[in-house]
Amino acid sequence: MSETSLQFAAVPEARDKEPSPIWGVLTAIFSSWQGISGGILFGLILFGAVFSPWLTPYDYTALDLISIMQGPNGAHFFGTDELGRDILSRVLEGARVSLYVAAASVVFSLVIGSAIGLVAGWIGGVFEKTVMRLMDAMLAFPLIVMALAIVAVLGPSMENAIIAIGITKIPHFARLMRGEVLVLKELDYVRAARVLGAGNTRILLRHILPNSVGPVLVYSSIAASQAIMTEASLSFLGLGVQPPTPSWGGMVSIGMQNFQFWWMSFYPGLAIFLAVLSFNLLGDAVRDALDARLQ
Amino acid sequence: MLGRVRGFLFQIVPLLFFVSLIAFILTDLLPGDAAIEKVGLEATQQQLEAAREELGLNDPMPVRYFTWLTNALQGDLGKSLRSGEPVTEVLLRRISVTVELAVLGTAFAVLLGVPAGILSARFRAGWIDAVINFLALSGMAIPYFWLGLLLIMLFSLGLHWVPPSGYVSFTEDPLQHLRLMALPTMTIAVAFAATMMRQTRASMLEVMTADYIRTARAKGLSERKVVLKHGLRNALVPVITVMGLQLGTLLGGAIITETVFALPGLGRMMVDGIFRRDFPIIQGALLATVIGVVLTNLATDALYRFVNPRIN
Amino acid sequence: MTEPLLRLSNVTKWFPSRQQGGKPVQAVSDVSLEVMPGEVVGLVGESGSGKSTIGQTITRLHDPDSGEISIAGIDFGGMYQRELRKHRRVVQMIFQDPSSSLNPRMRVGDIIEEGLGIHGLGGDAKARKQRVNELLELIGLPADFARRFPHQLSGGQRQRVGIARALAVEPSLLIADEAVSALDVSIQAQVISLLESLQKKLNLTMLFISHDMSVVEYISDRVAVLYLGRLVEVAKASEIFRRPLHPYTEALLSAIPTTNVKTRRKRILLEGDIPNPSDPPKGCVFSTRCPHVAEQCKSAMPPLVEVEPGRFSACMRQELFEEKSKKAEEA
Repeated sequence: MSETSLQFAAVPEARDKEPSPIWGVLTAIFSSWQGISGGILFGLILFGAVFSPWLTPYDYTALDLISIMQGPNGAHFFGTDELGRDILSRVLEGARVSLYVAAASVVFSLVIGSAIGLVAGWIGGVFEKTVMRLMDAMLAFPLIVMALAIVAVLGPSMENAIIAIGITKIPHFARLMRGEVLVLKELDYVRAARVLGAGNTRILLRHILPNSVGPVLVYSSIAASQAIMTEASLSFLGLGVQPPTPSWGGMVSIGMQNFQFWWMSFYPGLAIFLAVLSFNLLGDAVRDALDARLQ
Repeated sequence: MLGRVRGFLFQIVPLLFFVSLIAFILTDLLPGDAAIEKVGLEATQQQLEAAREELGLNDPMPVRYFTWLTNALQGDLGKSLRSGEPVTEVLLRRISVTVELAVLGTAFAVLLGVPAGILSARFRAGWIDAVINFLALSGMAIPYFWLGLLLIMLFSLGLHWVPPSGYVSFTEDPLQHLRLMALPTMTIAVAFAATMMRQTRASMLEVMTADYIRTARAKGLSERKVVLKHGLRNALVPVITVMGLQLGTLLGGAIITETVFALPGLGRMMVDGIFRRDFPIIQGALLATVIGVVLTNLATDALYRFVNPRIN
Repeated sequence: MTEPLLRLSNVTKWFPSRQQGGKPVQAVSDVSLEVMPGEVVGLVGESGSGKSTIGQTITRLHDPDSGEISIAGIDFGGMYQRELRKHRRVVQMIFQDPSSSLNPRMRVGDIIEEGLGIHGLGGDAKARKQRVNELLELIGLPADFARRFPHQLSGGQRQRVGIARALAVEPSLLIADEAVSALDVSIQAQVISLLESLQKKLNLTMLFISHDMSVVEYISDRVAVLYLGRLVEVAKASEIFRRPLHPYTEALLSAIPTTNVKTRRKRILLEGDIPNPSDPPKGCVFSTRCPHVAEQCKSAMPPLVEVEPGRFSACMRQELFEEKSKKAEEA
């Protein structure tokens, strides 16, 4: 009886294919209209940001006091601003700034927030409760309000805007990660690792972290879209990226003082809108894709 | 019952403590010397020292925090360094503007967003759904300041329907007041309406697939009745909760909107305070905002538990 | 006289109540048991009996609140977590749910190898890969399965990987916590056979936790019956199924469906539900549902006494059973 059972068991019952999981997610993302349109939009913006110096004949800092306040025309597709600079060039350069700030702040908050959530969720007890209360307290501050306050403390600059925006999103990532850890802690394979004698670090890095990546990634797209919006708002108020570095929010602010020249505020604002929209679309698509896989 | 109250306090007290601590620390860290702001740059060293003592700036941080906290709890938030006016009075004046903006904006958002969400859920996966969904995503992507400016350019400068900015209180001139509040309300409502629409749609979809809806249909009720009477009532619960929790986002939008339209509200108070280095004002505005959010969240939470006793 | 491999002495485990201000739940109460090397002891009970908790407490997934747990002479129950890690090889566990017992992001080979890495066993990387292949062969899976991910395996195969993972560190004691309960019946048979043959081949000591009496009957040398966190009967498998001494065991066995008319027992239907574990009955835990309950049963929980050599029962009314069994034997 015992010998046959060993042979019996050798019949492979599983499916033989070996799809790479990442490819599956990517195809899922780009099969919905949100994913496609978001991807295209984001691609355009990224392209514009990366190649901005080469896409227009003008340098974005070049003053041309003769051509100030020109409306959109053949020479300047988006018109010129109060110092004669080509607005299209400045919008493209602003794309660089926005994407950089968004990426940097998301990375900042993701790393720090996830670390906090990971440790808090794993250790548990009073430590976790206290940390989570602190996170809840931070969440009570509206994003802009907190970013404003932090920038006011640190002084307005691009780097400080990154830090400020990053700090405001830390509690979201921390909460997310901690929620994941709480669920994963109870799963059998984590218990098995404990029974095997794995130390905390090994369990966190090998078992918990890789399996909590999904929701964190989805949230990153939301965080990025909020980062762009917050940076634009800070710059609009004069507390973000400082001139002469072009920023979309800052350009709209100057445009507001000259609103008869509508193109000065219209195009930068449009850029913000499209950028945030692209992240929203992508975020939706990613979430739908990951939800479908769980089914 | 007592256990519930105890549990409730257990939750809220640490939260409020941390919140007030953060608010205090943030303003404490602001660069600039409150004493200088008070007596001016020309003051002598003696006057400066006196101001410092008076403002309690020489005490260690925990002492300052507790002094501030005890004062705040009694309603004393200090005086504006610019105008000398008690911060609490400034707050009370300005809160009404922001509250009105928030309320009007919410009303507008609900009127716009909820029906759109219902429609979207009803015609799920059809072109109506796609269009509405796209509009919602767009609505959430539009920067408040850009939208505000566009509205001003269109309705004010272009069509001359309303004045571009400014504020007049309702008691002074009701008609003008409403005309001046029209554009700011629309500005703040758009993004919120988009969120409401998405939430309503999601909530309706979840409810519509439930068994009791199928029972209602089987009973022979018209589709319209099924949707509106049975589905909506239950779907609205999470929608209302989300609505309550959105106050934070609304207030963030309010800051920008008040700046664009020159409304004398809480948001403008904070921004002005930052530019003028008026620390008590900043602190007061910060605190008011945050306490407002916390209280609304708690109220929403309590309401939700009341309506849905299973969750506990 | 050999020393028991596993010795539980008056082990108790409480859990705080889930609700605010509720009473704590005593999941395991005053459990004492010995398992000899090479023995298979089946631990049976219904849900809520505490059987899984015992398994988790033995492996120190939970810490015991009182009592001692000794494995291979080591005071496993009393050690601090830090020191414990070195000794963890000595007892391993096979888990119930194949869909959550393996890390979905790890390949099968790495899953099995992990224990080796933790304890520095098996030599260099090459030697470890060799060991993994040996283990795969032992559980009856082809060597190339090492590269697969868990979602590419069936439920039965995943359970087998779980067995290999446990065996990799060469434990003295193996705890199978409902190891086959989540599998289809035909696959159950395969995995049980595998466990049985491995046990014989490697002379493993096993604690087999299950609610399925027929499976337990097949694989166990001895059986321990749990009710509401307390042991009510312990006896050799062959004897307990023929002649249960505790009323609860009797009822439990009567519920096993069988087509054999001769061995089919009269169904004993128990009244009522399992009592709330946070509010256990005073006196014998089974008193609220026992068909033979008497006044004396409600005063105190009867201790587990050795009523016959090697047979333990926690019932005050032993005399009933002695009568019955005498009658049965005469019949």
